[in-house]
Amino acid sequence: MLGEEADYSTDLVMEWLLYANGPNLIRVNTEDEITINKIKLEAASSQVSIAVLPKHENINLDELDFYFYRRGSLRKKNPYHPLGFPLADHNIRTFINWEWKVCSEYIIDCLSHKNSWGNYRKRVVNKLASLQLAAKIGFKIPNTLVTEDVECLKSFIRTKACIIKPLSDIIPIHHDDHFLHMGTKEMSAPPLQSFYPSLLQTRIAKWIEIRVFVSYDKLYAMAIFSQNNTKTELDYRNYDRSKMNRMVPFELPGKIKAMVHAFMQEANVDTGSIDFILSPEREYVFLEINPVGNIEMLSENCNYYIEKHIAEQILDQINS
Amino acid sequence: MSESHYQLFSCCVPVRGFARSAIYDLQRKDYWFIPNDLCDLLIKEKGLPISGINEKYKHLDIESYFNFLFENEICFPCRKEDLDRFPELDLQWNIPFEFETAIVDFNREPLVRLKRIVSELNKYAIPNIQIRFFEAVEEDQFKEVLIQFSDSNMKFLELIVLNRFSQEFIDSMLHEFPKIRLLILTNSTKRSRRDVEQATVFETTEHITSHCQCGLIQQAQFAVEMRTYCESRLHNSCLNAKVSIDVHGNIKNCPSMKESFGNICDTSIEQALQHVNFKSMWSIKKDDIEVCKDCEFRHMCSDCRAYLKKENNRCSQPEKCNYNPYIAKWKGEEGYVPIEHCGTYNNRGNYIPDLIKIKQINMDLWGG
Ligand code: SF4
Ligand code: SF4
Repeated sequence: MLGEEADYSTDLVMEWLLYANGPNLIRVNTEDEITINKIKLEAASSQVSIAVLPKHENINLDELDFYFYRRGSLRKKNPYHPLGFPLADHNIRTFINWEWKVCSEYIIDCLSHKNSWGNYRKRVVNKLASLQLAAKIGFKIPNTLVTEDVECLKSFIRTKACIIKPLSDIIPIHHDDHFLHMGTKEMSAPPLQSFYPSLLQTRIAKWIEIRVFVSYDKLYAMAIFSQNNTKTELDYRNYDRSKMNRMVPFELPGKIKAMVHAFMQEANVDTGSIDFILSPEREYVFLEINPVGNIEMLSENCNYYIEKHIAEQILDQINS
Repeated sequence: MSESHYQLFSCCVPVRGFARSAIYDLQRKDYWFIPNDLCDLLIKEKGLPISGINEKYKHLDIESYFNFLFENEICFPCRKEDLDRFPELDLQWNIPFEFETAIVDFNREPLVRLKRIVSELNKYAIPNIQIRFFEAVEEDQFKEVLIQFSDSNMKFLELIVLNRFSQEFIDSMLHEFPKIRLLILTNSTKRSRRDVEQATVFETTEHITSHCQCGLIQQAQFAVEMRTYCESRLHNSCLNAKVSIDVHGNIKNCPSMKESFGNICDTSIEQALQHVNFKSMWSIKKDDIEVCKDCEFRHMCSDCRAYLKKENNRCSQPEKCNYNPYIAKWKGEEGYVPIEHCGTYNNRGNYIPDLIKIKQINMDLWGG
């Protein structure tokens, strides 16, 4: 099982597997240091064995029956000073990272050929490509523009209220005492300086937001009532602790369920969370998909026991 | 296509009581008292448009009821065709463990059966273990207990122990045994609370010398919360998924219960569990308990099964409860009378409320 140390949903899946007197489990976290014992390739057969520090667990890939990918990657620190060059040298660092990438991705690909839940290679889906695909499936999407041209941007924001948000994933950025808060923001006037290519979308009128988690053929939906709360109106991740948004179980119409499954199939992902806006006209507007998105929030607020179901899906596969 | 209807947020559940009702907000962990007529309306009139409710309940101030419900985000205005999109809360309660809690009590000599107890408990993954020392123990004994338990499968350790240790010793124990999450020091000279690493340490002046001090029903311990609510609807809210070993080594539901399912010295926990009576205690629900079934607190309260108002009735109300749900008064509040003044017990220990009398008391207390 590959996840992150503080990954509560992986903890729960493990507990359910253990409770079912299930398989022997090996949990590897992205924080762990990996050592390659050997990757031995021969014409007839190949052997891959790695060790996980500091647990000193040796893992022989041949002996694994099932692979669970939640998030993260196999990591190694860069302890070497090859050829006497300082590690600070940018190209050296890049080179060593590439060297490791070939190893770690090969190992993960070997794992992926086994029975598995989740997929490392599909842990990110290109935001633009997924919007395009969603539109093809028949979902409504916000008008979307990526540009670094001021005139182009001006004419886009002139017609309609717009928001700006990152093209990629949000990561925390600190500088001195300054904390850069990323997320979705309103965009009413063009920036004064030149800017990096940025993602702009028309602001969609909202009744509620819908968060859907998909795990293979299973689908869980939750309604988020964020429109009453000015802090979370644009992006429900701006949590308001004092008056947390209402998050309750939601039953998707059959047609939308079928479209979600069609989307997953076309995007070639098996698991992930999808965000929709449900407009006042009851249109499902696709916003984005995160294949390694949060599970706990749905599971806890809706009493869904998603982690238990995931464990059952895994056991079904192992025992079949 | 107008929002002519309303829908309850499924995390807001009405719980009807005799004198008044409550709405539990399982998400924000809070509750509101509501009058019974509003509670009945919310339960019975699902799917009726607000105008229809206005029509049907002319004698009630429906407008101010709905103002209250909308303001507190208990309900939301909803179109008729959207009503079915919002299913009720799926009432389920599951744990990936055989037990959730184990209570282990010790008297003077904790080390006597220690190894046996730990090796038995170790056969299970038990998230919480609560150890209660009813008599003073030496530092080295205390530490030995911690060493043994820390090697076991459990995640969290809660301790109740007589305060005769230095703060230095306590802190070193908390540091050495990160599984300790709660430490209650009894017989202290003062009351205090401090957080040390992952643990909370309470000093209390109370003397806790035996299991008999358990079973208090206090408002301060009420919990409005999804898991607690579901568990209380489906299982016993104290004894469910609990196993205990009393000071003599007897395996019981809880140390205060009379029935022993064998001694740890010669009985395995597994054997004890197989006894039909063991798990039957887990399924006595608050909705079936005398008096509690009429109480608006019943799914935030806990359900003591060891100390009962009427010994001969396994569904009798917890003895140490000081609330009277028939008149909505706690002991100490003005106008309180015990439930015994509001009804009688029959010879099977069932409580029969005297409706005429209760009506009279409530008239005097709360007006017509
Ligand atoms: S049944 Fe009563 S005495 Fe036993 S643990 Fe529960 S509250 Fe305490
Ligand atoms: S009557 Fe007392 S013990 Fe019963 S549910 Fe109400 S407060 Fe709890």
